[in-house]
Amino acid sequence: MVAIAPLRWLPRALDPFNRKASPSPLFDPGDFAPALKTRLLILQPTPFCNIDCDYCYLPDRQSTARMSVDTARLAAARLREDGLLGETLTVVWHAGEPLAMPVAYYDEAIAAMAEAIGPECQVGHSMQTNATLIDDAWLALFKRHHIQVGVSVDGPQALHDAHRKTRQGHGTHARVLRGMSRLRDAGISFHAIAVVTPDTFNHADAFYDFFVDQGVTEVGCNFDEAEGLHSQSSLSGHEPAHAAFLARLLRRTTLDSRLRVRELAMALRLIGQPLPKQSWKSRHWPYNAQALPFALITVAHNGDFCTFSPELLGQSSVEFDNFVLGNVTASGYLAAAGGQQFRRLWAAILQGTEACARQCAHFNYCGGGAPANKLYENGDLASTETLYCRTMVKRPFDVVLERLEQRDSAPRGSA
Amino acid sequence: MSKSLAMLIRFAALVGLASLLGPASALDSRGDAERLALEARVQAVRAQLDAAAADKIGEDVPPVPHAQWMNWPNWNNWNNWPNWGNWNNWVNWFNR
Repeated sequence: MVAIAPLRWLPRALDPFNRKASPSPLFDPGDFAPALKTRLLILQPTPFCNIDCDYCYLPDRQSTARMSVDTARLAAARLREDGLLGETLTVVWHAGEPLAMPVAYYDEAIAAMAEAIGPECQVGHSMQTNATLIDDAWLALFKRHHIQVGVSVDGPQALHDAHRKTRQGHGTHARVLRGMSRLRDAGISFHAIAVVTPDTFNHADAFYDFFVDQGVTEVGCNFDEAEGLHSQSSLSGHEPAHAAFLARLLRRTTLDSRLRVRELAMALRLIGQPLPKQSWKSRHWPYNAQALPFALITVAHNGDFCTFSPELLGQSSVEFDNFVLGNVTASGYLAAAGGQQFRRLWAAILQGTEACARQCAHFNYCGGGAPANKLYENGDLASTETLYCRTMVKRPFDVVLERLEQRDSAPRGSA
Repeated sequence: MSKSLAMLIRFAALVGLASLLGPASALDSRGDAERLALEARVQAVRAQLDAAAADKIGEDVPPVPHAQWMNWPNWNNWNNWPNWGNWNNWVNWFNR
């Protein structure tokens, strides 16, 4: 399906392609059912990253600024003050490299957050790391706080070192392997997230075998999205090859089941059972945390926060004031929802969700796409299909569905 | 009526006509048709998966860990989803 960009030279109210658009909505938490709860709190303890991947979208990854323990505590305390805590909460420490912070910082921050949140909510902590800095102290921290670890690694050395380099231009693969080895030796389970490019598609078997050999049981296949500083994805023009790549991974995983591919497992899950519904006033959508206010909240090192797509925070935007809705040191999350800035942002995202609902065959399995990708790919949060949609949702879904249909039509034992 | 006002009215009429006949309505209709077709395919497969779930095949494996926020809604309730969503179960069923 082709997304048709609205006539941006017209005011939104006069845009003929936007005739069902919502007015700028007033935010009232009581309009949501089930009640709004934050499932995911993404904390950016530092923008700094010790390596320099060529597809990174972060603008300030040379900055060594750090989040204070008190800011981390406030990020958690505001959730409780606003009634946004449910039974569980996952805190993800992410962007730049979380292990560039001192180990002791996390001991203090995790304790302060636990005290702020209280015993009613079960909190789990996750870290997404390039694994190059893992040593015994980090291993002890992971164990001490039951931290779920995700390692960013792109597969075999040639694929990985082509993009994931030091600032001096050297590959980081060997250091990542050492980090994964330490995790394994310490008995700490971890998953992997790889960024796949057209080069990866030519090496599907080597890619699969690499993770099996490394003892990884689950891998997510991201791609180099067009976001922020990284304005052009390498996947453009290579989508059929990506489909073949996914089909090959599906073939391998159904043969030996030693590696679960996140996108394929998710597609199976979506085929098996629909997403839960989220209602706002009289409207009902499949649950999509990136399109639902405060389902996920991202807090930067200085306390600035945003909701919706995490990639928005830290990016420059005149129309949306750089996506900074407030600062946890000054006010709570819901207080920001009364402002014009939030209403503009939410109105645009609502329009995008409604457009997806009208136009996209996969809407029931997605719930409205990723606002950040709509903005960076189509130039408009109110737009519809993106390369991200096709790559992360539609194509895996279609590959798994087709394979299941083949299975259903084949004689038993021949699949 | 000034010439510019007349032009503006003609333009507004064209915009209104486009909103009735233009690509948005065509996209909406196509979206509906494609969605129904896809849903029918999914329902057919889902019936097979439900039947497999009744078999309670395979062995349980630990829940999938959180991976990244982009897929969070789908991972979050992993433990609460039916057993046939278990990857190993599915693979076993797929290959038997």
